[in-house]
Amino acid sequence: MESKFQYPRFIFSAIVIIAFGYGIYEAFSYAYLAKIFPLYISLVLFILAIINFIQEIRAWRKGAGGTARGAADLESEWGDLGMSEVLRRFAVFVAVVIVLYALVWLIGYPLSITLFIIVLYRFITGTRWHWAILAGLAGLGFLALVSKLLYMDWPEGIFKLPWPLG
Amino acid sequence: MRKYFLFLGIAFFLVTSMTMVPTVEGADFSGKTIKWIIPFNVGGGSDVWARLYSPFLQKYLPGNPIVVVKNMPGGGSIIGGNYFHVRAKPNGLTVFGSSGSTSFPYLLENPKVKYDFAKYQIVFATPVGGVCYINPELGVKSVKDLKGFKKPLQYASQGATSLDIIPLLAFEMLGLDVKAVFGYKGRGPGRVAFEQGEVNIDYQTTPAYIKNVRPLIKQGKAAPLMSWGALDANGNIVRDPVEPDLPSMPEAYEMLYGKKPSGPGFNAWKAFFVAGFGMQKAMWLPEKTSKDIVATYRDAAAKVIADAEFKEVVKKSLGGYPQLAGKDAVVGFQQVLDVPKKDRGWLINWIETKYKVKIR
Amino acid sequence: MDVVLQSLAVVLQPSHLLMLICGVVMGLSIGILPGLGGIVGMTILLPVIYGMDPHSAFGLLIGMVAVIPTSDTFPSVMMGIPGSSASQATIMDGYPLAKKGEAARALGAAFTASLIGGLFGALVLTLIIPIARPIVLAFGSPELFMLALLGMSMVGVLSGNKPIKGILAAGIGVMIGALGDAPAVPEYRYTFGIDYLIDGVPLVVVGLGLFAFPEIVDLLIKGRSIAEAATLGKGWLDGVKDALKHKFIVLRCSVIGVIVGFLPGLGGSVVDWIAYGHIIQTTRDRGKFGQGDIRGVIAPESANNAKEGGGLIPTFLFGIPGSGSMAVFLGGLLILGIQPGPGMVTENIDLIYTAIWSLALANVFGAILSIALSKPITRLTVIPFSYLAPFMVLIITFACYQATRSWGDLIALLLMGILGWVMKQYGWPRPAALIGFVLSDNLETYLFISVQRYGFEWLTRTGVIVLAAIIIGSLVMGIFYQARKSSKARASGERNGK
Repeated sequence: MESKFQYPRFIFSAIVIIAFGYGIYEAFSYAYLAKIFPLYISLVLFILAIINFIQEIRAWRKGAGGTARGAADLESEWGDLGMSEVLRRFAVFVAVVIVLYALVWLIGYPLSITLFIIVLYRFITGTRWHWAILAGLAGLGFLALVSKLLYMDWPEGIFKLPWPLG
Repeated sequence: MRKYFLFLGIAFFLVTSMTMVPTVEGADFSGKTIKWIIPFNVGGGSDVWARLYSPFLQKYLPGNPIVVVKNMPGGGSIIGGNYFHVRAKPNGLTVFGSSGSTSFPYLLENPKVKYDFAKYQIVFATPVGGVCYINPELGVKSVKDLKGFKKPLQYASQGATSLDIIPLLAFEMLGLDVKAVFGYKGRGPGRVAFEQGEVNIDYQTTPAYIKNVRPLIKQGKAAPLMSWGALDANGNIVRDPVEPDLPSMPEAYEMLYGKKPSGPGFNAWKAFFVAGFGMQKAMWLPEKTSKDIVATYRDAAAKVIADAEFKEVVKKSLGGYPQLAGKDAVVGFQQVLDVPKKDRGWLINWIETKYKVKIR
Repeated sequence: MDVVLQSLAVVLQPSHLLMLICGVVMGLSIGILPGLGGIVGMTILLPVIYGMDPHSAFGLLIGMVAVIPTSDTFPSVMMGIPGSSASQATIMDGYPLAKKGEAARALGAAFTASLIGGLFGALVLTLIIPIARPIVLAFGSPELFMLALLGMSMVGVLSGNKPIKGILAAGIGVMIGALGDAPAVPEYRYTFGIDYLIDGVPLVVVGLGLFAFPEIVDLLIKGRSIAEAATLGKGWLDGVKDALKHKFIVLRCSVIGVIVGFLPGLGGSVVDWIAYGHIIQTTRDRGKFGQGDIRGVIAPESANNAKEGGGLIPTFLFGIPGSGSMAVFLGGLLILGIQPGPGMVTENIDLIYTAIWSLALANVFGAILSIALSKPITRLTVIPFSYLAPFMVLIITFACYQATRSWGDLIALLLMGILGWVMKQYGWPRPAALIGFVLSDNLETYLFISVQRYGFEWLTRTGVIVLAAIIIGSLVMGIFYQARKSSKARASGERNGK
């Protein structure tokens, strides 16, 4: 792993420290019975988080490389992609999801997802329009089926649409 | 691959068009769908209750509309209640099913509660009963033995603001020293805890009591004490018809103290008892619903209750209690709504002091 | 014995078989779609069973719930996305196998393990009914707390060589689990005044957010298909052989599955991690776990099917659900007019055996159908992922939304997803977080009750001491094996002149 673009790693570790610190602080305001568990857990973890942070900084200083091994989690090997590129693409994906949510907020879930599928098929997968539209309709059909079976309503947008689009 | 997608797409499109709902305008409820909001999860007690009622409602409501149960769990039924309060239109197409856990936060003035039963129109209500029993190893065989009983008891409780208010306050009134162990997830785990010896006093709703506690009584592992009681037509608490040999709670009180229970504690207990047991589950129409629609619903409910097949369902799955519709239900629930504010305040104060919780 | 055979005859009647097969097909479809699980299936079926005769209804319901832990392997292996909350551990080795092009082998092994596990669960259910009650009753709140702690000790094994991060990750999970209403007190914790958080974050959202979201993102970032090789490699028959070769693992994990399912309070969502953790702890050559060791697929898959059989025990005998889907199943029992509890063994014993046979047969049908489907479905691993991604987003957002049907689900999904991705990148073990989340409620509740009821003397109960010994024993074993491995590695490293 590149030793250059590691600072997001430290930001996250720092956030963890802050999170547990907040956990301690917030727990004080709860009734006695509700307070013990979160308070003590946050306390212990706060200390561990600080230790972890220090360990990470030291490992970075030493220039130690190598990913963790040993059944900790799935590993991602990025091959020739640099970390900064990976993070950039990640940010793009998150932005796309946020746009999707904004769309849902406007016109409701079913239509948004249909459009989302259509757009993604056309532009990212690279098929032609009629296939993209067919895929979108397949998605819509699925949602219609499910909404009947589970008696579900979807998030409605500000502009309310007739069933099955809204 | 392409053919596969084509097939999928066409298939789903066909499904979509076939499942379109027809909309028909018309009088009464022909062709309409009635949404019954149940603020609990699928499979829960209230959900089962609604599903048992809905086919019969469909049968007796004019026009035979489809009655669909819409589960909206969350916040201990507060979220569903608020949704009904804010969004239900008074056109008779949306109704609400409440349970004790919905009425209790309302009575306890929980700040998150927006719904207001005083404004809605009740259609019908379903009572349930509770039976209290104790570990006979303590030397108690019936309520009479509780006179002067001083040994400490443990009760498995879900929380100081749950339906457990009924047993906890009852124990207090009867002079028992009961420690409430909080954290149990329901009466089922409570019963298991009793069998394990973790707690030594417990209550169960009547259907569970009949199936699961009666065997214990036969084995000498449990001794029945009393039932909470049931409401009669005038709103008084009488013996539970399913357990007629057991005294009701007010009777038990009288047996121990020689006089009938009274005072703010008892008034509060009575109101909460009605909300939690006497009229535990109720179906409501929104505020401002026309008298016509309300009457139609109450009529249909009365017919449902009189239906022979439904009576079997009540016996098999709802405890066998007489259901209340229309006027009876109104009178019954009025007791809940009429409890004087100061008595409610007394209860809230008691809970806050004794169990050190913040309610308001 | 009569009742047992009589029930089999009943179950084999064409009308009942039909219901069973419907249930199985339904269960297959639900399991294949990531994020959905038994609860959704029960929700769909409950309105349908009204008025049915109980034997048919059981065929339908149990057929459905029995097969979900079989078919949920599909998305776990093929996309690293948990098919249901019981299939997360399968991802750890199943997905790397798919990446190597050995998806069919992983599936074959998984289905065989699932079949054996499920049958084992049905068998245990039969045998254990007479003695189940005293066993369940022996586990009071202190013992259940120790069990939850035992589950948490798996975090140690699953953290590899980063124990601190593992504990922290588990802690994060526990805190997220503590979000919302406190177990016994009307107090809402860490909710920031947001209504959605009153009930805490739903398991589906956490599971999909932590595991599914990062996988989808990563695959899109890399921009190709799931399988990194162009061909599909070994076939399912090899997988079947693998499962049979490791039959002791299958049996051991089935036992674990049944026990976890049967003891109220552990929850079905950790059974796969416990099995997975256990198998790592007890294996000497554990270097390949996490990279495509077939045993890492066999272990969780046998356990999660066996747990369904185990879960029926407390549900029937005590009216206490063994898992979330059992909780809904209980409602189904009430709709059918059956009151669960000790009375069932005397009054409804025939139904219990119907349930057992349905469970066994459903597992058989499920395994056969799954194997049949594995070939066409594994083809999906070779097409470029961008064909699948939009539908994955659809399914995941839908699966999360059906948790509480509010906007909060979607937003929580995104937040958990970002958390999950960051954790994956920087080596914070997500399985630890999930275990912490699932066990959080139990840990707190049972500790609470134990202290309230017994002060501190619960620490001296026999059950507690036994369980404490088991926990310490398993932790020690884990460290012992780890130490041997790393000293061996160091030794061989030195020999190679590093």
